[in-house]
Amino acid sequence: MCTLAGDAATCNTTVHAQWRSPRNESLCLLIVDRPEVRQCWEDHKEGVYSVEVSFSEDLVIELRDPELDRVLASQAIAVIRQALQLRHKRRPPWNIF
Amino acid sequence: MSFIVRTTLALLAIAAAIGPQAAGAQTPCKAPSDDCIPVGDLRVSLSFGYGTRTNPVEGRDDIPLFVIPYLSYYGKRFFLESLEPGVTLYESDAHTFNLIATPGYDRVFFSRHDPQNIIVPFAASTPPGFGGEKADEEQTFTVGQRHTTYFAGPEWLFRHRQFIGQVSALYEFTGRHKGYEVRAAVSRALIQSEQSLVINAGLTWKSEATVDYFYGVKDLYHPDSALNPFVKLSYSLPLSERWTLTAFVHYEFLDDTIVDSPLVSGREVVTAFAGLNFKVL
Repeated sequence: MCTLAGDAATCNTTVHAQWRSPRNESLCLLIVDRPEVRQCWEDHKEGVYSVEVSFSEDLVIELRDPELDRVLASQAIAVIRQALQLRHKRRPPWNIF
Repeated sequence: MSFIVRTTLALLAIAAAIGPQAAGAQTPCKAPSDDCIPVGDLRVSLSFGYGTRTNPVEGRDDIPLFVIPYLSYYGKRFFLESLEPGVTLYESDAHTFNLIATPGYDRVFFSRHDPQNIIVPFAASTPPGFGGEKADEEQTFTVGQRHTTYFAGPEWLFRHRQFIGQVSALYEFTGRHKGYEVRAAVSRALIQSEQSLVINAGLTWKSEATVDYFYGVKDLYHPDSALNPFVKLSYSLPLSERWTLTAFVHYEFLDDTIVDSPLVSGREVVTAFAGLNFKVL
Protein backbone atom coordinates (compact mmCIF):
# COMPACT_ATOMS: atom_id res chain seq x y z
CA MET A 1 0.00 0.00 0.00
CA CYS A 2 0.96 3.66 -0.31
CA THR A 3 0.22 6.09 2.52
CA LEU A 4 -0.23 9.75 1.63
CA ALA A 5 0.71 12.02 4.49
CA GLY A 6 -0.41 15.60 5.07
CA ASP A 7 -1.54 17.29 1.90
CA ALA A 8 0.49 15.06 -0.47
CA ALA A 9 -1.47 14.45 -3.67
CA THR A 10 0.21 11.45 -5.29
CA CYS A 11 2.28 8.40 -4.52
CA ASN A 12 5.55 8.30 -6.39
CA THR A 13 7.20 4.92 -6.17
CA THR A 14 8.80 2.05 -8.06
CA VAL A 15 6.50 -0.95 -8.44
CA HIS A 16 8.29 -4.32 -8.44
CA ALA A 17 6.24 -7.20 -9.87
CA GLN A 18 7.33 -10.84 -9.91
CA TRP A 19 5.54 -13.96 -11.10
CA ARG A 20 6.47 -17.63 -11.04
CA SER A 21 4.91 -20.77 -12.58
CA PRO A 22 5.77 -24.49 -12.43
CA ARG A 23 5.50 -24.65 -16.22
CA ASN A 24 6.37 -22.40 -19.10
CA GLU A 25 3.88 -19.64 -19.61
CA SER A 26 3.31 -16.95 -22.17
CA LEU A 27 1.68 -13.97 -20.56
CA CYS A 28 1.75 -10.21 -20.19
CA LEU A 29 1.89 -7.95 -17.13
CA LEU A 30 0.10 -4.64 -17.26
CA ILE A 31 -1.33 -1.90 -15.05
CA VAL A 32 -5.01 -1.07 -15.41
CA ASP A 33 -5.56 2.32 -17.10
CA ARG A 34 -1.86 2.61 -17.91
CA PRO A 35 -1.55 1.48 -21.54
CA GLU A 36 2.09 2.55 -21.62
CA VAL A 37 2.96 -0.10 -19.04
CA ARG A 38 3.11 -3.60 -20.50
CA GLN A 39 5.65 -6.38 -20.29
CA CYS A 40 5.17 -9.75 -22.00
CA TRP A 41 6.98 -13.03 -21.61
CA GLU A 42 6.92 -16.03 -23.98
CA ASP A 43 7.56 -19.51 -22.61
CA HIS A 44 8.96 -18.43 -19.28
CA LYS A 45 8.58 -19.94 -15.84
CA GLU A 46 9.10 -16.64 -14.05
CA GLY A 47 9.34 -12.96 -14.73
CA VAL A 48 10.33 -9.75 -12.95
CA TYR A 49 9.32 -6.26 -13.92
CA SER A 50 9.96 -2.84 -12.29
CA VAL A 51 8.43 0.45 -13.29
CA GLU A 52 8.25 3.93 -11.73
CA VAL A 53 4.71 5.18 -11.41
CA SER A 54 2.81 8.10 -9.89
CA PHE A 55 -0.73 7.49 -8.75
CA SER A 56 -3.36 8.99 -6.49
CA GLU A 57 -5.90 6.15 -6.64
CA ASP A 58 -5.53 2.41 -6.08
CA LEU A 59 -3.24 0.82 -8.65
CA VAL A 60 -4.27 -2.57 -10.10
CA ILE A 61 -1.62 -4.82 -11.66
CA GLU A 62 -2.76 -7.75 -13.81
CA LEU A 63 -1.27 -10.81 -15.46
CA ARG A 64 -3.14 -11.57 -18.69
CA ASP A 65 -2.84 -13.99 -21.59
CA PRO A 66 -0.89 -12.74 -24.61
CA GLU A 67 -4.13 -11.66 -26.32
CA LEU A 68 -5.00 -9.68 -23.17
CA ASP A 69 -8.41 -11.35 -23.12
CA ARG A 70 -8.25 -13.17 -19.81
CA VAL A 71 -7.04 -12.00 -16.42
CA LEU A 72 -4.86 -14.72 -14.97
CA ALA A 73 -4.02 -12.92 -11.71
CA SER A 74 -4.26 -9.42 -10.26
CA GLN A 75 -2.98 -7.46 -7.32
CA ALA A 76 -3.90 -3.97 -6.10
CA ILE A 77 -1.70 -1.37 -4.44
CA ALA A 78 -4.01 0.58 -2.15
CA VAL A 79 -3.68 4.32 -1.57
CA ILE A 80 -4.44 5.37 1.98
CA ARG A 81 -4.68 9.02 2.96
CA GLN A 82 -3.87 10.02 6.49
CA ALA A 83 -6.68 12.05 7.95
CA LEU A 84 -5.71 15.71 8.23
CA GLN A 85 -6.71 17.61 11.29
CA LEU A 86 -7.28 21.22 10.35
CA ARG A 87 -7.62 24.35 12.43
CA HIS A 88 -8.85 27.83 11.68
CA LYS A 89 -6.06 30.33 11.40
CA ARG A 90 -6.13 33.46 13.52
CA ARG A 91 -5.74 36.72 11.68
CA PRO A 92 -5.62 39.45 14.31
CA PRO A 93 -5.73 42.75 12.36
CA TRP A 94 -3.53 44.45 14.93
CA ASN A 95 -0.65 42.39 13.64
CA ILE A 96 1.22 43.30 10.52
CA PHE A 97 0.05 40.11 8.81
CA MET B 1 -1.46 61.62 3.72
CA SER B 2 1.91 60.36 2.61
CA PHE B 3 2.72 59.18 -0.91
CA ILE B 4 3.11 55.60 0.31
CA VAL B 5 -0.34 55.54 1.89
CA ARG B 6 -1.99 57.16 -1.15
CA THR B 7 -0.29 54.70 -3.48
CA THR B 8 -1.22 51.70 -1.36
CA LEU B 9 -4.84 52.78 -1.16
CA ALA B 10 -4.89 53.35 -4.92
CA LEU B 11 -3.52 49.84 -5.57
CA LEU B 12 -6.08 48.31 -3.27
CA ALA B 13 -8.89 50.22 -4.99
CA ILE B 14 -7.66 49.09 -8.41
CA ALA B 15 -7.48 45.48 -7.27
CA ALA B 16 -11.01 45.72 -5.91
CA ALA B 17 -12.26 47.09 -9.23
CA ILE B 18 -10.45 44.49 -11.32
CA GLY B 19 -11.64 41.53 -9.34
CA PRO B 20 -15.31 42.07 -8.58
CA GLN B 21 -15.89 38.50 -7.54
CA ALA B 22 -18.01 38.27 -4.45
CA ALA B 23 -16.56 36.43 -1.52
CA GLY B 24 -18.13 33.09 -0.77
CA ALA B 25 -19.68 32.21 2.54
CA GLN B 26 -17.35 31.08 5.28
CA THR B 27 -16.99 27.31 5.10
CA PRO B 28 -15.71 24.75 7.57
CA CYS B 29 -12.10 23.66 7.31
CA LYS B 30 -12.13 20.69 4.94
CA ALA B 31 -8.85 21.22 3.11
CA PRO B 32 -5.61 23.11 3.78
CA SER B 33 -5.76 26.75 2.74
CA ASP B 34 -4.59 30.14 3.92
CA ASP B 35 -7.35 30.08 6.54
CA CYS B 36 -7.24 26.37 7.42
CA ILE B 37 -3.98 25.14 8.83
CA PRO B 38 -3.02 21.46 9.28
CA VAL B 39 -2.19 20.62 12.87
CA GLY B 40 1.56 20.45 13.28
CA ASP B 41 2.22 22.77 10.36
CA LEU B 42 5.04 25.28 10.81
CA ARG B 43 4.91 28.24 8.48
CA VAL B 44 7.69 30.76 8.05
CA SER B 45 7.67 33.56 5.54
CA LEU B 46 9.44 36.83 4.82
CA SER B 47 7.93 39.89 3.20
CA PHE B 48 10.19 42.22 1.27
CA GLY B 49 8.97 45.62 0.26
CA TYR B 50 8.48 49.12 1.48
CA GLY B 51 6.18 50.59 4.03
CA THR B 52 5.94 52.82 7.04
CA ARG B 53 4.24 53.15 10.38
CA THR B 54 3.72 56.77 11.36
CA ASN B 55 4.80 57.73 14.84
CA PRO B 56 2.48 60.02 16.79
CA VAL B 57 5.04 60.64 19.50
CA GLU B 58 6.62 64.05 19.50
CA GLY B 59 10.13 64.15 18.11
CA ARG B 60 10.20 60.50 17.01
CA ASP B 61 10.69 59.28 13.45
CA ASP B 62 8.19 57.25 11.56
CA ILE B 63 9.05 53.55 11.52
CA PRO B 64 10.04 52.25 8.09
CA LEU B 65 9.15 48.67 7.15
CA PHE B 66 11.46 46.81 4.76
CA VAL B 67 11.60 43.15 5.77
CA ILE B 68 8.75 41.60 7.74
CA PRO B 69 9.21 38.08 9.15
CA TYR B 70 6.25 35.90 9.95
CA LEU B 71 6.02 32.62 11.82
CA SER B 72 3.07 30.47 12.78
CA TYR B 73 2.64 27.09 14.34
CA TYR B 74 -0.61 25.37 15.20
CA GLY B 75 -0.57 22.28 17.36
CA LYS B 76 -3.63 20.45 18.60
CA ARG B 77 -4.12 23.07 21.33
CA PHE B 78 -1.04 25.24 21.44
CA PHE B 79 -0.36 27.84 18.73
CA LEU B 80 2.11 30.58 18.03
CA GLU B 81 1.56 33.52 15.71
CA SER B 82 4.79 35.51 15.57
CA LEU B 83 4.94 37.11 19.04
CA GLU B 84 1.57 35.74 20.22
CA PRO B 85 1.46 32.33 21.88
CA GLY B 86 -1.82 30.79 22.93
CA VAL B 87 -3.84 27.76 23.86
CA THR B 88 -7.13 26.78 22.29
CA LEU B 89 -9.76 25.77 24.79
CA TYR B 90 -12.54 25.06 22.29
CA GLU B 91 -12.86 25.18 18.51
CA SER B 92 -15.76 24.54 16.19
CA ASP B 93 -16.62 25.76 12.69
CA ALA B 94 -18.34 28.81 14.17
CA HIS B 95 -16.50 29.58 17.40
CA THR B 96 -13.04 29.41 18.87
CA PHE B 97 -12.05 30.21 22.44
CA ASN B 98 -8.38 30.79 23.16
CA LEU B 99 -6.14 32.01 25.92
CA ILE B 100 -3.53 34.26 24.38
CA ALA B 101 -0.53 36.35 25.29
CA THR B 102 0.26 39.37 23.18
CA PRO B 103 2.65 42.31 23.38
CA GLY B 104 1.45 45.80 24.11
CA TYR B 105 1.66 47.77 20.90
CA ASP B 106 2.36 51.23 22.19
CA ARG B 107 6.01 50.65 22.99
CA VAL B 108 6.85 50.49 19.30
CA PHE B 109 6.54 54.27 19.21
CA PHE B 110 9.06 54.74 22.00
CA SER B 111 11.75 52.19 21.18
CA ARG B 112 13.11 51.25 17.77
CA HIS B 113 14.40 48.05 19.37
CA ASP B 114 10.98 46.78 20.35
CA PRO B 115 10.52 43.25 18.92
CA GLN B 116 7.44 44.41 17.06
CA ASN B 117 9.49 46.87 15.02
CA ILE B 118 10.64 45.03 12.03
CA ILE B 119 14.14 44.57 10.72
CA VAL B 120 15.15 47.89 9.26
CA PRO B 121 18.69 47.57 8.00
CA PHE B 122 18.87 50.83 6.13
CA ALA B 123 16.67 53.13 8.17
CA ALA B 124 17.89 56.41 9.60
CA SER B 125 18.77 56.25 13.27
CA THR B 126 16.46 57.79 15.82
CA PRO B 127 17.68 60.21 18.42
CA PRO B 128 18.45 58.56 21.77
CA GLY B 129 16.50 59.40 24.88
CA PHE B 130 13.30 61.31 24.65
CA GLY B 131 12.35 64.71 23.39
CA GLY B 132 9.90 66.00 25.95
CA GLU B 133 9.56 69.52 24.71
CA LYS B 134 6.84 71.13 22.67
CA ALA B 135 8.01 74.26 21.00
CA ASP B 136 4.89 76.26 21.73
CA GLU B 137 4.94 75.48 25.50
CA GLU B 138 8.70 75.56 26.13
CA GLN B 139 8.32 73.15 29.00
CA THR B 140 10.91 70.50 29.78
CA PHE B 141 10.14 67.36 31.74
CA THR B 142 11.70 64.00 32.38
CA VAL B 143 10.04 60.97 30.87
CA GLY B 144 10.79 57.49 32.11
CA GLN B 145 11.65 54.48 29.98
CA ARG B 146 8.87 52.46 28.39
CA HIS B 147 9.49 48.76 28.85
CA THR B 148 8.12 45.90 26.81
CA THR B 149 4.76 44.83 28.18
CA TYR B 150 2.81 41.65 27.63
CA PHE B 151 -0.90 41.13 28.00
CA ALA B 152 -2.75 37.87 28.49
CA GLY B 153 -6.37 36.88 28.55
CA PRO B 154 -9.24 35.14 26.81
CA GLU B 155 -10.02 35.54 23.14
CA TRP B 156 -13.24 34.66 21.31
CA LEU B 157 -13.37 34.26 17.54
CA PHE B 158 -16.63 33.71 15.69
CA ARG B 159 -17.31 33.02 12.05
CA HIS B 160 -20.61 33.76 10.31
CA ARG B 161 -20.97 33.75 6.56
CA GLN B 162 -18.36 36.15 5.18
CA PHE B 163 -17.65 37.72 8.58
CA ILE B 164 -15.05 36.83 11.15
CA GLY B 165 -15.17 38.58 14.50
CA GLN B 166 -12.84 38.52 17.44
CA VAL B 167 -12.84 39.94 20.94
CA SER B 168 -10.12 39.67 23.54
CA ALA B 169 -9.96 40.94 27.11
CA LEU B 170 -6.38 41.35 28.23
CA TYR B 171 -4.47 42.10 31.40
CA GLU B 172 -0.87 43.30 31.53
CA PHE B 173 0.86 40.57 33.48
CA THR B 174 4.47 41.72 33.16
CA GLY B 175 3.82 44.13 36.01
CA ARG B 176 4.79 47.37 34.28
CA HIS B 177 1.43 49.03 34.70
CA LYS B 178 -1.09 46.19 35.32
CA GLY B 179 -3.53 47.83 32.99
CA TYR B 180 -6.15 46.33 30.70
CA GLU B 181 -6.94 46.26 27.03
CA VAL B 182 -9.99 45.10 25.15
CA ARG B 183 -9.50 44.44 21.45
CA ALA B 184 -12.43 43.84 19.12
CA ALA B 185 -12.61 43.60 15.35
CA VAL B 186 -14.70 42.30 12.49
CA SER B 187 -13.32 41.28 9.12
CA ARG B 188 -14.97 40.57 5.81
CA ALA B 189 -13.48 39.30 2.60
CA LEU B 190 -14.49 41.65 -0.19
CA ILE B 191 -12.73 39.50 -2.78
CA GLN B 192 -11.90 35.85 -2.19
CA SER B 193 -10.77 34.24 -5.39
CA GLU B 194 -7.28 33.96 -6.81
CA GLN B 195 -6.67 37.30 -5.13
CA SER B 196 -7.86 38.32 -1.72
CA LEU B 197 -9.05 41.68 -0.42
CA VAL B 198 -10.11 41.80 3.21
CA ILE B 199 -11.43 44.72 5.20
CA ASN B 200 -11.12 44.90 8.97
CA ALA B 201 -12.74 47.36 11.34
CA GLY B 202 -12.44 47.42 15.07
CA LEU B 203 -11.26 49.18 18.15
CA THR B 204 -8.90 48.92 21.07
CA TRP B 205 -9.91 50.09 24.51
CA LYS B 206 -7.00 50.82 26.82
CA SER B 207 -7.49 51.31 30.54
CA GLU B 208 -6.31 54.43 32.32
CA ALA B 209 -3.27 52.57 33.70
CA THR B 210 -2.24 51.41 30.23
CA VAL B 211 -2.58 54.84 28.69
CA ASP B 212 -0.90 56.58 31.61
CA TYR B 213 2.15 54.28 31.41
CA PHE B 214 2.89 55.25 27.83
CA TYR B 215 1.44 58.71 27.39
CA GLY B 216 1.24 60.15 30.87
CA VAL B 217 3.75 62.58 32.35
CA LYS B 218 4.30 62.54 36.10
CA ASP B 219 2.85 65.57 37.88
CA LEU B 220 1.90 67.07 34.53
CA TYR B 221 -0.52 64.91 32.56
CA HIS B 222 -2.68 61.97 33.63
CA PRO B 223 -4.77 60.58 30.80
CA ASP B 224 -8.03 58.69 31.06
CA SER B 225 -8.83 55.40 29.42
CA ALA B 226 -8.75 55.51 25.63
CA LEU B 227 -10.82 54.10 22.81
CA ASN B 228 -8.98 53.85 19.47
CA PRO B 229 -10.98 52.71 16.45
CA PHE B 230 -9.25 51.46 13.32
CA VAL B 231 -9.86 50.27 9.80
CA LYS B 232 -7.59 48.05 7.73
CA LEU B 233 -7.50 46.87 4.12
CA SER B 234 -5.34 43.90 3.16
CA TYR B 235 -4.65 42.57 -0.32
CA SER B 236 -2.81 39.48 -1.55
CA LEU B 237 -2.29 37.80 -4.90
CA PRO B 238 -0.31 34.52 -5.12
CA LEU B 239 2.22 34.70 -7.94
CA SER B 240 3.61 31.20 -7.52
CA GLU B 241 3.76 28.44 -4.95
CA ARG B 242 6.11 30.51 -2.78
CA TRP B 243 5.71 34.14 -3.87
CA THR B 244 2.70 36.32 -3.08
CA LEU B 245 2.10 39.97 -3.85
CA THR B 246 0.90 41.62 -0.67
CA ALA B 247 -0.18 45.06 0.48
CA PHE B 248 -2.09 46.59 3.35
CA VAL B 249 -3.00 49.89 4.93
CA HIS B 250 -4.06 50.28 8.55
CA TYR B 251 -5.55 53.50 9.88
CA GLU B 252 -5.95 53.90 13.65
CA PHE B 253 -7.59 56.95 15.20
CA LEU B 254 -6.19 57.99 18.56
CA ASP B 255 -8.47 58.89 21.43
CA ASP B 256 -8.33 62.53 22.56
CA THR B 257 -6.84 61.48 25.88
CA ILE B 258 -3.78 60.24 23.98
CA VAL B 259 -3.71 63.12 21.53
CA ASP B 260 -3.82 65.63 24.39
CA SER B 261 -0.67 64.14 25.94
CA PRO B 262 2.33 66.47 25.74
CA LEU B 263 4.26 63.47 24.39
CA VAL B 264 2.02 63.16 21.36
CA SER B 265 1.86 65.34 18.28
CA GLY B 266 -0.22 63.14 15.97
CA ARG B 267 -3.90 62.25 15.90
CA GLU B 268 -3.63 58.92 14.13
CA VAL B 269 -1.29 56.06 13.32
CA VAL B 270 -1.09 54.95 9.73
CA THR B 271 0.70 51.74 8.78
CA ALA B 272 1.10 50.81 5.13
CA PHE B 273 3.19 48.26 3.29
CA ALA B 274 3.46 46.81 -0.19
CA GLY B 275 5.81 44.09 -1.32
CA LEU B 276 6.39 40.44 -1.97
CA ASN B 277 5.96 37.64 0.52
CA PHE B 278 8.24 34.59 0.23
CA LYS B 279 7.13 31.35 1.82
CA VAL B 280 10.16 29.75 3.45
CA LEU B 281 8.30 26.86 5.08
